[in-house]
Amino acid sequence: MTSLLTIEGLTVTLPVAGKRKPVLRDINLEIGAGEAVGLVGESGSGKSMTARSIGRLLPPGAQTSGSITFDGKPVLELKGSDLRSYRTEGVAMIFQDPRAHTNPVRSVGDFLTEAMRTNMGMKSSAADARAVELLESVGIDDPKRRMQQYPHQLSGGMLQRVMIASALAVRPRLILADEPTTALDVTTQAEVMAILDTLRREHGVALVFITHDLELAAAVCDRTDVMYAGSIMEQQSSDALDRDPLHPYTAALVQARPSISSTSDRLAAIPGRPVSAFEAPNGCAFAPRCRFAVAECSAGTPPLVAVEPGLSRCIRIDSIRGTMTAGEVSNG
Amino acid sequence: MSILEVQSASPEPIEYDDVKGQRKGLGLTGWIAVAVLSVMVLITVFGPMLYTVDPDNISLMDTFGPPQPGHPLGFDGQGRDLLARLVVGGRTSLLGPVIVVIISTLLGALLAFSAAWIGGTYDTVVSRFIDTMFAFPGLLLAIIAVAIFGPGLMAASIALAIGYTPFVARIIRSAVLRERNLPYVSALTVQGLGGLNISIRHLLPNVAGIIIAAATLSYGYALIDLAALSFIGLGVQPPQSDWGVMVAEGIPGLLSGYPQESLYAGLCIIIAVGAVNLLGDRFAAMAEEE
Repeated sequence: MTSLLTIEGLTVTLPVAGKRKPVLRDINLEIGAGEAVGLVGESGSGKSMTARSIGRLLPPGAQTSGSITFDGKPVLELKGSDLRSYRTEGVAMIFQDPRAHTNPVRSVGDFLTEAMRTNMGMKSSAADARAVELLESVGIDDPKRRMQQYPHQLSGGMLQRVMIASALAVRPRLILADEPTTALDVTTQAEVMAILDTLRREHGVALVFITHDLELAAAVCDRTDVMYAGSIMEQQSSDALDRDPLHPYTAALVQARPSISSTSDRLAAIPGRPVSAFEAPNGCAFAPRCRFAVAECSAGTPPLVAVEPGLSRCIRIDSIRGTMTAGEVSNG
Repeated sequence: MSILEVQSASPEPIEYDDVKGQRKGLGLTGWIAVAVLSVMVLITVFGPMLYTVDPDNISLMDTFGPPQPGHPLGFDGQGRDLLARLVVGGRTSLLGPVIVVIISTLLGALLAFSAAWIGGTYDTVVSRFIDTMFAFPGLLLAIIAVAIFGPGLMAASIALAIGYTPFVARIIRSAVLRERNLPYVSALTVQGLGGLNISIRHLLPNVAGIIIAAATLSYGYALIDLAALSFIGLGVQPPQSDWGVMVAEGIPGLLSGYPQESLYAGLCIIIAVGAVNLLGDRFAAMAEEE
C-alpha cells in the first residue's frame, strides 16, 4: 500500500509560562490511502495534538520539528493557497463537540456549502444540491428542511452527522476524527460510527480515528497506535491489541475496562495519574505506574522497536509478553 | 369556601424574564434616546425647509432681542435668529462626529482584525503601537492637524478620527481575539477557508454588536471634542453656524446678561451627547448579553 501520510520524528513544543514544554515526542506514523488508523490513550496523551498537527491547527506559538508528508508534500511548510488546498482536498477534520465547532448564527446549509462555494468555485445552486445529497448520505431525513435550520435546532447526533457531511463536502483524502462520538449517547454513537465506516469504505478515504474506546478503535480501524505522554507506546493491528498487547500500558488499559462477561467487585485501575509529555520522567514515561518496571526502565528513553506483529516501546517486552493481561490485578 | 376551590386557584405563573432581570432589546431608556436623536436629526435635516428664516441675516435692531412672533427663541448678539442658527448649526455638529466614527471604526477594525487574526509578532507590534497612540490625546492630534492643514471641519474630524482609532481598535481586537479562539473557527480553518473569508463572513457579524456599541459611544465623545475645537476657533469657522461656535459666540452676551445663545447651544450638545451615551450603553449591554 502506498503511503498517503507519513509522520517522521514529529516533536511539538508549546510555550507555557515562558518555557517551552514538549507535548509530542518523536511521533512516527504512516497511513496508507484508504487505511483507518486508531489513536488511543488517556486524556493529555497527545492524540488530539497529533491530529491538530496534521491539520495544521496547532495553537499559536507551537514549534514543531520532524516532518509530516502528505502525498509527497511537506505539510508543515505549506503556506497560503497551498495550505488552503491541502485543507480542502487533503484533510478534513471532525471534532468531539459539534456544537462548539459550528458558528451558531449560520444555518446548516450555509455551513455546508461555504467551502464548496469559496474553495471549489461551485455555484450556490449546485452547492446546495450537493449539500442535500451529502445530508442524505449521512442519514438525515428531510435534508431540504434541515438546510434552513440553525445548529441549536439540531440534536447533538444530528449535528455530528452535519459535521461529517461537511468533512465530505470538500472531498478530502484523509479524515481526522477527533473523538467524534464522545459527546453522543451510545445508540447515536453506533450510528455515527457506522456512517463513518461506510463512507470510508465507499469513498476510499483514509481515517485517523481518535478515541478512548479500545473496542471502538478495534471495530473501525485496521491499525491502532497507543499513545502515552506524547509518545507512541505501541502499534499493531487493532484486533490483536487486547488479545496480545505489546506494552504494559496497553495491557493496563485493557484490564481497566469493565467486562460484560465477568463480574468483579472492583474495576482495575492504573495506579497514579496520567502525565503530560513535559512531566514525563527520564526513561520510559510509563515506568512509575508500571507493575513490570525495573531499574533499567528509568535509564533512558526506550526506542520504538519492531516486535512481531507490530511496534513496541517497552524494553522488557520479550520477557513479559503474554503475561501482562493475566494474573494479579493491581487495585492502586 | 371548599378546599377544592382553593386548590383550583392556580398560582400566578412566574415571569422568568423578570426573575433573571434580563432586558431584551433597547428597553425604555434606549427607545427614548432613539426618539430624541431621531427628532434632532429630523429637525436639522428638514427644519430649514419649514423654518425659512435666514440664519445669517443680521438685524442690528434686534441685538439680544427677546422672542417675538416668527422668532420663537429671539436673537443673538449680532441680531441673527437663534432658532435658525441652532437648526443649521446642528447639521455640522451632528455630521462631524459621523466622519470621525466612520474613519476611526474602519481604521480600528482593520488594525484589530489583522492583529487578532495574524497574531504573533504582528499582533505585538500593532498592540504596542496602539498603546503608544494612547499617549496622544485625540484633541492634541486634532490641534496639530489644524495647525498644519488650517482650521475647518474636515481636517479636525480626520485628525480626531486618528486620535480615536486606538480606543476603537483595542475594544474590537479583544472581542475578535475571543471570537477567534472559539472552536468553530478551527473547524472553518480546517475546511480550507482563508483568514479574510472567516474574518468577514463569520467573525465580523459575531462582533458587530460590540463594534456598534463602541462606535456609538465614540460618536458622543467626538461630538463634544468637535464642539470644543469649534469653541476655541479651530473647527467650524464663523460665520458658519455650529453649536460649539455658538457657545463661543455667546460669551459676550453671557457677560452682559443675555445667556440665551450659549445656553441653548450648550443644551443641544448636552441633550445629543446624553442621548447618544444612553444608546451606546444599551448597545454595549446588548452586545454583552449575546
